[in-house]
Order: sequence, then structure tokens, then C-alpha cells
Amino acid sequence: MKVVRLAKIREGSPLQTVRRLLRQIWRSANLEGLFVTTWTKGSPAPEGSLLKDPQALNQADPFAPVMRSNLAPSAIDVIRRHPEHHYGVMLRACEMRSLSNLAAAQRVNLTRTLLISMDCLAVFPTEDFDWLSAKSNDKEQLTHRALHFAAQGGILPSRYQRSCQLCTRPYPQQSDIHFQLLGVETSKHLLISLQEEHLATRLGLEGALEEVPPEVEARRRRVLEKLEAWRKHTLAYSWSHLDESQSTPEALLAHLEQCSSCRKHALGHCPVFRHAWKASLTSVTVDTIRDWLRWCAGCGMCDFECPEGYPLFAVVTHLRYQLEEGVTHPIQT
Amino acid sequence: MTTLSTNPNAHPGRGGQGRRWLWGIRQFVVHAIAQDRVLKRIYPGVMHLLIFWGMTIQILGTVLNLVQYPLFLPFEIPFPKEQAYLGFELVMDLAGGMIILGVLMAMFRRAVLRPKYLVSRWEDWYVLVLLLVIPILGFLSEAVRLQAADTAWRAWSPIGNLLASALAAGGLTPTIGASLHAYFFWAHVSTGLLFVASLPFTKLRHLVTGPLSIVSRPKRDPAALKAIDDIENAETLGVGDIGEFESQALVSFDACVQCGRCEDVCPASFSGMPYSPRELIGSLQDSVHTSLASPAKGASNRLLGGTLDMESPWHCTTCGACVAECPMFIDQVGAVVELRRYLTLTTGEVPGSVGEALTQIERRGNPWGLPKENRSPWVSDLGLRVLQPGDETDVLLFVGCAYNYDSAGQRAGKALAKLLQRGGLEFATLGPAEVCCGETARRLGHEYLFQVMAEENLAALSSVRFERIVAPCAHCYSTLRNEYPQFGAEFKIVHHTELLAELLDEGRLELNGAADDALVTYHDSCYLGRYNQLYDPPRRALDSVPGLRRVEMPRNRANAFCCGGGGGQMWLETDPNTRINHRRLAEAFDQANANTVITACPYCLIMFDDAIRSKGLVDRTRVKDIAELLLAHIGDGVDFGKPGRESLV
Repeated sequence: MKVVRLAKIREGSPLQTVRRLLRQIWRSANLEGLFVTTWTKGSPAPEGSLLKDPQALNQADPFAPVMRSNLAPSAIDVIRRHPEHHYGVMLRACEMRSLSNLAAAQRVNLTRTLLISMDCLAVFPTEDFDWLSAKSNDKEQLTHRALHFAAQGGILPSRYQRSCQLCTRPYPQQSDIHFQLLGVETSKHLLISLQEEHLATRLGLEGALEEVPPEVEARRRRVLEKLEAWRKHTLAYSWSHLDESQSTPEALLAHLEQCSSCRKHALGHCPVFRHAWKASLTSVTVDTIRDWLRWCAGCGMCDFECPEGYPLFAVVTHLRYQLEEGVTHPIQT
Repeated sequence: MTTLSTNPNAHPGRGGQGRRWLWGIRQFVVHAIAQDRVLKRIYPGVMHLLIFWGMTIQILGTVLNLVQYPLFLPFEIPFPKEQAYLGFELVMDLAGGMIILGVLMAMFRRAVLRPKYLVSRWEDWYVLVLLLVIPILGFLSEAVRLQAADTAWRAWSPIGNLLASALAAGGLTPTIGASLHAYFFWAHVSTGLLFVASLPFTKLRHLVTGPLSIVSRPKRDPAALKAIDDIENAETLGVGDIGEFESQALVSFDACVQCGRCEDVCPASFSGMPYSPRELIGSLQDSVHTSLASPAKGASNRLLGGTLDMESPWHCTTCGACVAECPMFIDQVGAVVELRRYLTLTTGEVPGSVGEALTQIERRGNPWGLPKENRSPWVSDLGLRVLQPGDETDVLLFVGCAYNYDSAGQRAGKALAKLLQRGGLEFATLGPAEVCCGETARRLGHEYLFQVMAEENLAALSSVRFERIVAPCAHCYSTLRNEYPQFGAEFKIVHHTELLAELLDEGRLELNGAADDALVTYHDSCYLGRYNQLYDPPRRALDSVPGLRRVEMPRNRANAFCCGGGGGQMWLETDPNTRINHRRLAEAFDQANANTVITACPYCLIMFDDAIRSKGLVDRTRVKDIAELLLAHIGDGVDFGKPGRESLV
């Protein structure tokens, strides 16, 4: 049964606390490696890396508000190449969804892998992240800021990458361990959700975790409700601008067939498009599109400026919703 | 990153904390009983005065009458008896007359005068009719009683007596009168009780909520917006749901009677923008009532995009005219900023130009979006001293973005620096250590950015020593003076008009006589005038120019009309048909017949400059900062020039 526990911030910053907890988990679970977003020397932004030593967690920065690519394909590669190893994978919500979709599509067994995820605090467009972080000497400053404002569900959403402004699922469900941040006063504590109660003992966390006071839980619930309400409102607003050529899978297929820019972009950036498109290379049909949409995790990597002005991301999100929920408008759900 | 902790005890220069309740009593007497703001307008003021005092006397008198019955009190009240009773009768009679007169004035105003800002709803007429019927029934009841009893002191009830004589002349016999008395009396009592019963359901509510709003309002100066305390842990940023307003604000919304004075003085409403503070508060009041009826929260209860138009908070210039006018002391500007905070910080659904302006402030440290290298070339031209940490100066010139980056502003800034040099002042600037004061960001709802910039400036200011700061931009001036104390700032700050007036008073600047055809008018900046009561120093400075002809615009000083540039408006796209600066220019040019507008705030300077150019009036009118005008009257100063001679680019 799923349980939620509270971990106090002791080290002054929530990021340090998470690193400490990750080290603890690593040791107790006897992990052989952890795939996590990490700062490497000379790189302007943290990247997904497979750490082999828990000490390297000092450079891990899973909450950095930037996403150059969806890390799920690299994580899946690591797991597929070393099926015998006991690895951990820490990903943001949309990447975690991509990971399980990819694992299903490629028949990769995830049972030996420890899945760790966290509430996504949204990311900046890459170029914005670059100039913001260039202004500061502290490379983790933007992470700290994002964590500070988790209590309100984030601040200044107009700065986020477009896909994050429209994301109604920043809190993943399918991981073993999940760091809850949205609506949580991260300067005081974090919430950790565990898929099974016994995980706390197995991961050596029982000493570090406490019961969650009801007001903390209530606050998180209120903030999540509000977040969902206004993101759905933003979604509805963005969809109200789609025309007929942008609201059916057939129309999307037609566009992808004639627009090589969009096709190339999706092939290069979407973690699942390639599989759907290549799998049916002989005859691409609307079913190809439907498969793709079913696997879509909403990571927003397909968002780019199409030379023909086609709002690829908005269309994909809209159609995915349609397919999933059987509705045309998120407000009606 | 650290953020500023707000200092709840900090309060700008004027006032001080004092005893809250003593202050509250004073507010109650001045604003709720004496109703000074209602009386600012003659016709509605007198009208309201008649109804208010008429009703107050009548209600007190009726209570006095009621307690005479042994039913209520175990002993007898000695008042009013004998002579005093006659006086009591007279006063009560006149009070009834006052009500009728006041109500008739109100009905005439609603039916015939119909001022543009006044809307009539069913409850407005309901209340007026009720207030008319109650005293008429009272007089009828009194008249038939006087006629039937025919007492010796009937002359002490002049109106009732007159009515009795009229009824008698009309053929009413005392017997019939006596039989009618019961009907009139009970009708009078019933309508009186109906009045009491109507209190919570009509605008009569303001009898209770009005004084409550007045005495409960925060002592905070209106020039300082409420800070978001502990911004990183606050659960909500801004207001998206009516319940997120503070309870004091909710009471104040409930006190609104839609008198429309705010709309009448609002530059946005006047210029035809789809915004009216009266409608905004009216809508918020409706939301208060709706949420009371069905307190369920959620998307259905949202204000912006629900009951309010998403665009509505972006038309306000935060000029504060409505706040200064409202008899109920409702803080319309505060409400607008809370709504903006919600859009900017929480949902992100801001107009493109708002996002653009905020990005520029964040990226470049100034709303012009220009790199630091472009700042104030005149500082080095004139060889001004730039302070390094640890340095000391007498006067610190806090230049401000407009004087740093804008071309018109740079001319004015250079003129000011020359005057200060002339006056022999020891002054210096912070140079690149000075960033935008954050006023624009704060009023666009970006409280976080404002706090970050305030922190940066306060760090720079505390690294040097100075006697006082001179801030020539009205927005910097007001922010440093009234808002930085929220974060622990303690320094003396003056505006350049104060400093120039001081130099002139002390005879440290000598001016030549005016030799040109300039007919000047001084435009009061909202952030100097209404927010900081700086009306006289600029006028004194102007009048010290020998022979300079100066006229006032129809709306001046506390009633001055905004230039349209405040509250971030300078950075927003506006409909060309509803430009506020065009209206104000027309006032200066057509109504006051001035050919030169003098400003003391760079935003006003830029807005007028823009209006003059876009209306093609460059040959006939001009705008100058007060420093530029004064410098032109100093022997070797720059030539002030004829209109149109100097390029306005």
C-alpha cells in the first residue's frame, strides 16, 4: 500500500537533504548505479548521467529547471544493456511516463530497477536557463529558486517552457519512491511517497521519516487543485486557437507527411515518435499516429517553431487528451 | 538566495504607529460622522448630509420616544419634558423635512441630472422611495394628530402644523382625522421597520459596512503597496478567488454603494478604456455575496476569466485618484495589484507587453531593456563622482532608469546635475551599482522581482555613507520613501523639486528673467502629488523665475489627472483611441492655453513628449522637466529655445 511520509530539512537546503536521502537509499538498496541529472565539468547545464559512486551525488541536481532532452531513452538504454545490474533511475514526471511507455514498447524489464521520481517544478526554455544561470556564480541557484517556490505550485509560469505551462500531470504515479514538492514548504520539509510501506525499512529510511501532519497534506491538496484548475484553463485557451487542420489525427498525419521540418524535429526529439513512425514505415496510417499519441508522455520536446506555423505540441497534446479521455475539451473532464 | 524580511513596524515618514484605536476613533469621527470626503462634492454632499443627519436625528428621537414607554425601562426618563419637549418637537420636525429635501434632491439627480458616472439599480430607487414614504407618513400622522388634539404648542411642529392646516382647508374634519391617525401611524411604523429589515439586503448596508471599512483600513500609507510577506512560503501569490482577499478588503468591497466618484476621476475610464473602478469593486462585491451564498471553491469561483475580464486589471495606471476620492476608503489600486500579482506570479496569463517589460527589467535591470553601457553618458560628461563602497558624500543622486536610459530623460538629468553643481552641492551617484528601483515590476504584479531589486539597491546604499538621497524620478522617490522602509530602509530622501526649491530659497541659484513667450503650466505627477503631497516646492521654484507666466490646468494638485504612464502603463500597448496622455495634453493646451508643460517626473515627461509628437504639435507646444526650465534661466545655461527649434528626438 502506498504511504506518504515527511522528511525534515536538516542541511539548510532541500537539495542537500535529497542528496543525503539518495545516498541512504543507495547504500540500503545496494544499488550499483543511479541514473540522475548531474552537473559535469564544463557543461552549461546538468545532464543525465549514470553515477557509479554515491559520493558523486554531490553534483546531482535532479530539480534543475532545464530539460535539453527527454532522458527516458538514455535511461532505457542503460537498463537494457545491463539487465543483470541493480540500478536506480531518477526522472521528472514526464520522463518517468516516457520510461514506462518505452519499456512496454521495447519489452524491457524494469523489475530490477529502482524508480525514483519527483514532482516536476517546470523548466525554463533552454536559452532562458542559459542566460539566467550565466548571471549567477552559483550554478545551483535556479534549482534553489525553483524549490523555494514549490510551496505555491511555482512562480512566474509565463517563463516556463510552453509544455510545462500546459502540463496537468506534474506529479507521477508509477515510481517506487516519489519526492513530493508542490504545495510543500520545502524550506522546512519534503514529503516522500513510497509505493509500499515496507520500502521505508528496506531503504533504511524509517529513522529519517515522520508522519505527515494533516495541515501539510491539506495544503498540498489545495495547491494541486488550484494548479490543475488553472493549467486546464490555459490548455482550454490554447486549444481554442486550433483550427480544423489541427484537431484530428488525420490532419496531423497529413501535416507530418508534407512538412519535413516537423517530421525531422519529432524524429530527433520525441522519445517515442521514432518507434511509432519506423515500426510502420511501409504504410504510415492514422493508426501510427494513434500509437504515437498513446505513448506520448507530454514532455514537450516536440515543441518548436515550425516554418509553416504549425503548433505541433498543442496539436499533439490536444489529440492525446482526446484519445485518452474520449473528450475534446479538458474543462469537461 | 535570501529574500528580504518585511519589517511590520516600518512606516514611512508621516504619521508613525501611535495607538491604533485612537486613530480609529479619529477616522470614525472625520470620515464616517463628519463625512469629509462625501462633502467634497457640493450637490451630492449636501444631499447626503441632509439625509444622513435627518435620519440620524429621527432615529435617535424615535428611540428616545420609545423608551418613554414604561414597557422598556423600569424608571422614567426626564428628557424631553416641558420646554425641552418643544425644542425636541421642532428638531424632529425639521429633521423630517431634511430627509424629504435630501431624497428629492437625490431623485432629481438620478432622474434629471443623471451624471455619467451614476448608475441606477432597483435598490437605489427602492431606498429613495422608502426614505421618502417614511417621513411623509410621519408628517401625515402628526398632522391628523395635531388637528384632532389641537394642542397649544402645535406651532413647534411647523411642517406637521402646515400640513394640518392644509388638510383642514381641504375639508378634513378632526373626527375623520382622528380615525385616520391609526392608519397613518401604523403605516409609518411599518415602513420604518421595513427600513430596518432592508438594511442587510440593499445598499443601506453601508450604514454598517461603511464605518467598518473606514476604521478597519490598514494604517499603511496608500503610497506603499502591501508587501507579500515571506514570499517564498506564502501559499498564494495574489488573488485568484474572492476568498483570498483579506477580510478587511472584503468588508470594504461590501461598503461600496456605487456612487461612481472613482469612475469620474479615473483616467482610464475617462479615456474610454474598458475599465472602471466602480464596476471592478461592484463585481468584487457581487463575488463576495455569491461566495457567501455558495462557498464552494474551485475553478467555478475564479475572478479573472470568470466574473472579471482577463484584461481588466491591466488598464489601471495606479494613479490613486480613485483611492483618494472614495468616501468608503476602498483600496481599488490595491485590489488591482493583487489581481495582477495572481496573473503574473501564479497563472502566467499576462499580456505579451507585460511579459516583455518584466523580462527586460529582469535581464537588464531596467525597463528600457538597454545594456548598462548605455546609462547616463552625462555622468561622465559632467565629471560627476561615482561612489565606491566605503565612500562618503553629502547628497546621493539616485538617478533612476528614465534619467539613465531615455533620451528625453537624459537631457533632464543632465540639466539637474548642472543645477546641483551650480548650487555648490556635494553630490555623487552610485554608478552601475544602482539598479531599477523595481516600482514598475511591483505595480505590474511581480512582487518577487521588486523585492530582489530592493535588496540589491539597499545593499548598494548601505555600502556608502550619505546625508540624504535625491531621487529625481517621482516613481523612485515614492518607492524609496514609502516602500523601501518595509524592508528596513532608513534614510532621508528628497525629490529634486524640493532640493531645487531649497537652493533657490537659500539664494544659491540666481535666475535671469524670462525673456521668451513661454506660458507654462505645471503638471502634478501622481506619485509626487497625490501619493506624497509635494505640491508647493515645484510651484515655488517656478515662481522664483522672474517674470515667468504660469497658469494652472483645471485639474491640479490633489485632483490632477494622470499622464497615463504609471503602474507600468508606459510599457503596455494601448488602443490609440484611448490614450490618456492625449487627454491630459489637451487639458494643458486647449483648456489652460499653456504652450509649455513643466513636469517633475520623467514618466510624465516622456508621456507628454509622446503625445505632442503623435498629435503633431511640436511647433506649438513643448514639455520640459523643471530642471531644464530653471537651467535655461541661469546665465550660461543651455538655450531654452523657441518651441520646435530644439529637436525632440
